[in-house]
Amino acid sequence: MARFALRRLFQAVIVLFFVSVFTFLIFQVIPDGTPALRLAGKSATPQTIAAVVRQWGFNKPIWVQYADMMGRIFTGSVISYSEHVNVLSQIERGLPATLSLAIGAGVIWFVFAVVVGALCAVRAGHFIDRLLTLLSLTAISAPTFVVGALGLYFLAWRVHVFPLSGYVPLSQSVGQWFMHLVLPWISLSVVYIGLYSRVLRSTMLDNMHEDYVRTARAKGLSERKILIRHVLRTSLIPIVSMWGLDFAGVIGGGAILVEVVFNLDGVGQYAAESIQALDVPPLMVIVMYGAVLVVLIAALVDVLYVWLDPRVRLEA
Amino acid sequence: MAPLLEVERLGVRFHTDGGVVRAVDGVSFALAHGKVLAIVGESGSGKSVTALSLMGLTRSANTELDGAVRFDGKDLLNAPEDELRRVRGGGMAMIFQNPMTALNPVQRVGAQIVEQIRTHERISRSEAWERTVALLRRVGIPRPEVRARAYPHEFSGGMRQRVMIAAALSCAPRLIVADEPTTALDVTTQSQIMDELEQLCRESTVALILITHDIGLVARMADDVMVMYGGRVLEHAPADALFEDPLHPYTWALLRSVPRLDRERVGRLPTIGGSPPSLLNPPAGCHFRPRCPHSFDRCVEVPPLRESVDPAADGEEVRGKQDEGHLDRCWLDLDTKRRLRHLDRLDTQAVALACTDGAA
Repeated sequence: MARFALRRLFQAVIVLFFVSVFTFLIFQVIPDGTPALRLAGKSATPQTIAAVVRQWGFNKPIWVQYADMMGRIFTGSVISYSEHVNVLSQIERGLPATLSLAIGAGVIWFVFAVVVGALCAVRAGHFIDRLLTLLSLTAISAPTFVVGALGLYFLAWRVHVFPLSGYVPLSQSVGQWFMHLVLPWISLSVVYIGLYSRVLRSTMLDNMHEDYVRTARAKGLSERKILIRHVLRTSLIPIVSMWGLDFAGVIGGGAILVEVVFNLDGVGQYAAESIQALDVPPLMVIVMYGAVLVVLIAALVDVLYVWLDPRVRLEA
Repeated sequence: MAPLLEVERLGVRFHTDGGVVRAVDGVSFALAHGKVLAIVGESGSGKSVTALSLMGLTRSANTELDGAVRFDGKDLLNAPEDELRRVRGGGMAMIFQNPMTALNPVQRVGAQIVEQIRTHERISRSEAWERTVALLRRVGIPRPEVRARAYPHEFSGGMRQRVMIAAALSCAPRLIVADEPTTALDVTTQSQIMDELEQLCRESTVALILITHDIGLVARMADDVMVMYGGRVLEHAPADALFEDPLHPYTWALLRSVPRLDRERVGRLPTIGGSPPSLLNPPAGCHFRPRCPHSFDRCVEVPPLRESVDPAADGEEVRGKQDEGHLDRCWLDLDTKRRLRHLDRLDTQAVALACTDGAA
């Protein structure tokens, strides 16, 4: 276990290094990426610009700039170009919304995918399977923003079931928090429900023909127990590993679209705004934070995986 | 006393995309308490399907079953699923061919046995666990209280098959159906496992249906032998009778292809030429006809499974000197069979001996 943790830590450092270098470099090479001009404000004199360049260190060699940036990230003192505020506090402000969205959606898509997938597998070839298959394929093909926009239009604008947009903290009102998140959760989950239920359906259909399922039947177990304890249990393994990666992906950036559509003011939305403003410091921090979460969640999923499949060992 | 198991004209038909497969065709037999019946035959002869059908494990939308399977006087073939479930793993237990895949890989072996016990008996988890540990000890698993908590992949093939045997014994069955229980194991493990299975059966007077293509095993354990081919029974006899006086040409071929250690062999081990019939499109008449060196015109009709007759006795059909209950499915008369067998140089005594010696 200690070796596993150490190894994962080492991997995380490498991942973070490359992610940070690439993100930093991208903003060096994109056109109009010169932040000094924007920092100096409109109609700035060359002297002002030169002062800004010196003040922010834009005249230093690029690796020094990178090192400075990383130093500030680790001391938590990154200041954004556009608003001159501390980036970390901005992220902290947006984190509850993002986490509420991602965790809620993650739970929803996992639970629904298992229910839909299992139902399809049990009723394979029947009407309900065909119907759900059709819906799954539709869900997989529907982009998040389309589902979100449709949901907004029909359920918030035409019929006022849900609020139009915004985020209400959990501490303020549980009911409001929930109501504000229902549509975002659904729009984020739909694709994954479709995808996962398909995978689960086919894994279960495969596993139904395994020898140990026949053994279970020969032991006198009821079909329901066979299905849950033997077929479903082993079929969850691929789903869980998919879930780990996708969940990390959603937290690390996949939620951006939904946050923007529903104006949740979370980290994703902050990232989107920063991209529009070519504001490098917040993006660096957000990308790093995403990468840390991805690595961390992947490690957690590996631990979960061992619990699900004892044949797997935590070594790597 | 009524037999424990009575199978009457069991037929199993699978509806496949290619047509209807008659996997089992009119198989009948009876098994008394505590007896061992061996079913032998090549792959695809229908022996496994017969075994699986006994406890309704071949039931599906594409399967057609007919005939009757009476276990303890109750018909199982047409029994509702919940009645069948009480028999499965309870009165009738099954041991499968491949212990590597027959256990659930993500469940502790002890839990898999506990699950079976608690399906059939209302006892507490801890009682079931205690019994599981005792069972594992009985089948020769060292440190059973520790090993019960291990996962199947932490066991060797032989140990896994012991776990399967322990599971089969867990609810005091009256019949164990063992479908090639040692085929997937290496030779030394095979004989250990069979020793133990044999001993356990004797201790508990449980009847055993042993499906195998190991003739040595049959010679050693079986009270009765049923030779199957292409879904039909070709010969059915007490084990001694079958080895001393085999009457069906297919049985001769099977016995001849047993490797012998007691004499020098010239050339290759004799095999049966050709391959087993396709049951999708079986040959007319006797299924062995295309491969049988002794076939004649009458063989295009399906011969009945009966005691051989000797027409020599003045037109009146009288039994030859063969044993009671020795049935075979061949048109040749008894005398001809024995003469042909002699010409084929099948030294039956020696085969029987070699089989028992080889197994010992």
